[in-house]
Amino acid sequence: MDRQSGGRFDADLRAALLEAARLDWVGALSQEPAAPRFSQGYLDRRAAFLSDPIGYVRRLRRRAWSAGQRALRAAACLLLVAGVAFGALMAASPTARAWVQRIFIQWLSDRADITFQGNPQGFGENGLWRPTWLPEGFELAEENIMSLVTILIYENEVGDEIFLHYTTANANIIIDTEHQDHYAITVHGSAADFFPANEPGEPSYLIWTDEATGTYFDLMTYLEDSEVLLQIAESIRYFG
Amino acid sequence: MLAVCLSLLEDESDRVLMARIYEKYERKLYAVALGILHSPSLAEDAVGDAFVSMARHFPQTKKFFQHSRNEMDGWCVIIVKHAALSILRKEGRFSPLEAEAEKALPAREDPEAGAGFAHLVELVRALPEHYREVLELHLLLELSPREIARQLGLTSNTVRQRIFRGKQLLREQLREEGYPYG
Repeated sequence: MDRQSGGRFDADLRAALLEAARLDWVGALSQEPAAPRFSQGYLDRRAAFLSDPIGYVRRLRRRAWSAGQRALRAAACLLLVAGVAFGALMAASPTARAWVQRIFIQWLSDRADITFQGNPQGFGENGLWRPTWLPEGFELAEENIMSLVTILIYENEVGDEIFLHYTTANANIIIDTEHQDHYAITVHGSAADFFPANEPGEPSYLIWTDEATGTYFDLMTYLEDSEVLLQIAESIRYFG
Repeated sequence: MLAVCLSLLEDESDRVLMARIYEKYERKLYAVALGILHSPSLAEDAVGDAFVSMARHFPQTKKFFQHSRNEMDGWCVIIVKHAALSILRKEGRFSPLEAEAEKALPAREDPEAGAGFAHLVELVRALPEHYREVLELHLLLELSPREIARQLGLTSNTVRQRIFRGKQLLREQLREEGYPYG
C-alpha cells in the first residue's frame, strides 16, 4: 500500500465512519424528540457551559487533575500509615525481623518525591542486573558500577539515551508530575510506578523493586515511545 | 492543542455557533445517550460530556456543522456514543456495544464504481465494535494510540494492532469483492 492510497482510504474511511454512525441512529436524529425533563443540575451545568465554554472546559480539566492528585495523595498517605504501623509491629516483635522493602511516595502539587528505604540492617550486594531486550539500535554506552549503585546508559546512533539505575541502598528521586502522567502497574509481578511523559521533550520514568533481593530500579528516557521502558524492565534478568 | 481549539471559541460568533449547535442537537444527543445508557441521569451526563468534547474539538465541530448536515449528525453521534461508553466503563457496566467475535461481513451486491463508498459504510457498520471504536477515536477524534489506550484501559500496542487490523479487514473485504479501494 503506498502512502497515496493509504491517505485516500483513510479519508474515505473517516467519511464512512461518520455516515455509519449517522445511519445507526438515523431514527433518533430524524425525529424531533419530545423535550425531556432535564434535572436542575443538568440545566445549571448547561447554563454554565454556554455562558463561557472555554472557562467551563478549563475548570473541568483543572478539577480532574486535582481530583486525581488528591486520590493519589490519599492513597500514598494510607500506604505510609500502613507502612509505619507495620514497621512498628515488626520492630516490636521479637521473632519477626524480616525486612520489607518499601517505596514511599510523597505527592506534592507539582512533583512526586519518591524514597526507597534499603534494608536498615545492612544493604545487600548490588548484584549484576542487565536487560535482555533493548529497542533497535541501542547499545550499552556507559557503565558506572559502584559497590551499592549501578548506573547504565544505553544509547543509539542518533544520541537517544535510556538510563537504568539500580541499588540496594537508600534511594530518592523527584519526578516533575506536571509533565508526566502516573500509572500503578506491575513489573515481574511486583508493584511499579510508571510516569510516561505527556508532552514532547519531557522524560518518562519507570520505578519498581525486586522483592527477593531488596533492589530498587528506575529507568528513564526522553524517547517519545515511553512504553519501551516497560519492555526493558520486564526483560531485566539477574546474572549473579 | 487544547488551548488552540478553545481559543477559537473566544470569538463571539463561534460562541453563538456553539449555542446554536447545542440547541439543535441537545435532544437528539439525549435520545442517543438514553438508548445506550438506559438511565436519564447518566444520559444527561453523557450529553454534557459530549458538548464539552465538541468544544474541545471545535475546529472539527465547526467544519462538520457548516459543511454537511449528514456529517454533523454522524459527528454528534460518535461524540455522544463515546461519552456514554466512558460512563459505562466508569460504572463498571458492560457496554451494550460489546466487542464481539468477528462476524460475517455483508455480501457483495454490486461492485460498480460509486457503490464502493456505500459498501464501505455497510462494512463499517458490520465491523466488530472493538475495531470500530478505536478507528473512530483515532481517525475522527484524532487521538493518539496512547491517548486511546488510556481512555479504553488498553495498552498502546493493543490499540495500534486494532487500528491496523480494523483497516486491514475492511480493505481485504473490499478488494475481495472487487471494489476500487486499497
